[in-house]
Amino acid sequence: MDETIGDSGYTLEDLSAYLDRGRTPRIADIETDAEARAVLSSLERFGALSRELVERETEPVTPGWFDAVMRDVTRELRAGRDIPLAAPDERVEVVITEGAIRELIREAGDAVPGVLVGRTTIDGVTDELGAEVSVHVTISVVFGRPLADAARAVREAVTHALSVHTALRVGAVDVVVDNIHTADVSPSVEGER
Amino acid sequence: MTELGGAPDEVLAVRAADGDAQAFGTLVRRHAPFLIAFATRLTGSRSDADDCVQDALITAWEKLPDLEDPSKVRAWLTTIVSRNATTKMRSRRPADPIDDIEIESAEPGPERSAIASSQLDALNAALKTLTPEQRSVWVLKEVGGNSYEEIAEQVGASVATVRGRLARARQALLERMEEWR
Repeated sequence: MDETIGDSGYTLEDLSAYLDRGRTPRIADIETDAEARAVLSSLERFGALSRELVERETEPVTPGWFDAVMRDVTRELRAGRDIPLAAPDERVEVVITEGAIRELIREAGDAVPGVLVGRTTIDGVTDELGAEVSVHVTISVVFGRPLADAARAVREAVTHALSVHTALRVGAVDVVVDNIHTADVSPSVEGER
Repeated sequence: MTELGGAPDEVLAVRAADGDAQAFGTLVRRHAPFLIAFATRLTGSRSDADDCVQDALITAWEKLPDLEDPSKVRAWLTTIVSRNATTKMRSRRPADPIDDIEIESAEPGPERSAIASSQLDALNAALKTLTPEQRSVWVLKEVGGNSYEEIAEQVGASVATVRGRLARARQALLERMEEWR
């Protein structure tokens, strides 16, 4: 273990740490020694093979296991703030959760062809009935689809959905394209399970 | 319902952070097979791995809003899993004072090399000859992508010890993989 490798003057432990530093800063005595370089490249290859080994051992999860995970997840749904929806009289207030509004926004945006909604933010005083809010939505657009077009369609769809389903007065709806995805998200991937 | 199967990781991660359980489920289907195989390598037990990954995913669901770079969701999940798996291993081997005792390994004789029909099988066999401590630092480093500091924290040893174990693991692999170098 304390032997130095080739004529590099460094031990395997040194080489090992050097490899894990990404071989920087460069140590000439190591990089110019054929044996030390061979050791480094073997170690790199064993690392890659280990990752391959684990990939080879992957298998799809069983439906029972997946369902157990999702049961726990849905038990802790993040509902967020309560937002007034209607006040039929002064003793009654109907609310919708922020989580449900986000869901509404995602559904409206996703319905635009080639678009996937990412993050949804609702800003403004949301605890008063009919308060004005602004909505910020990030979207991913399928490669090749004109971005401005997609963003405009999402803005319209979100504005419409919110005006139909909530009592919010929607001020600005900002749509930011922050991702491009290649594969069109088509129903053909259903078989993933 | 929108089909999310082809959506990029970062889109799924931000949706899941916003509370979209379906997006989270898609991430689970996509990455759980790797996470379970990784945890199985670490713990040596498929059923422990199933438990570790399940717990890790529940933690991930709660902590997702804090994830800074959603495109790195897979690496982030891997770190949570390795934390759980190492905790599990430590609780299973209470106060075992072994510190890298070199196990006398069977030299890979000719008949064993013949069975090791591929490099992967050879590496698999070589990994089995490592001590459990060496094997876990190797897997945490090379498969889990953890830093020395992260590994040290997870296995409850100093950074210097981790560096030493990893070097000994590599020494052993170099010897046992001689013919594949």
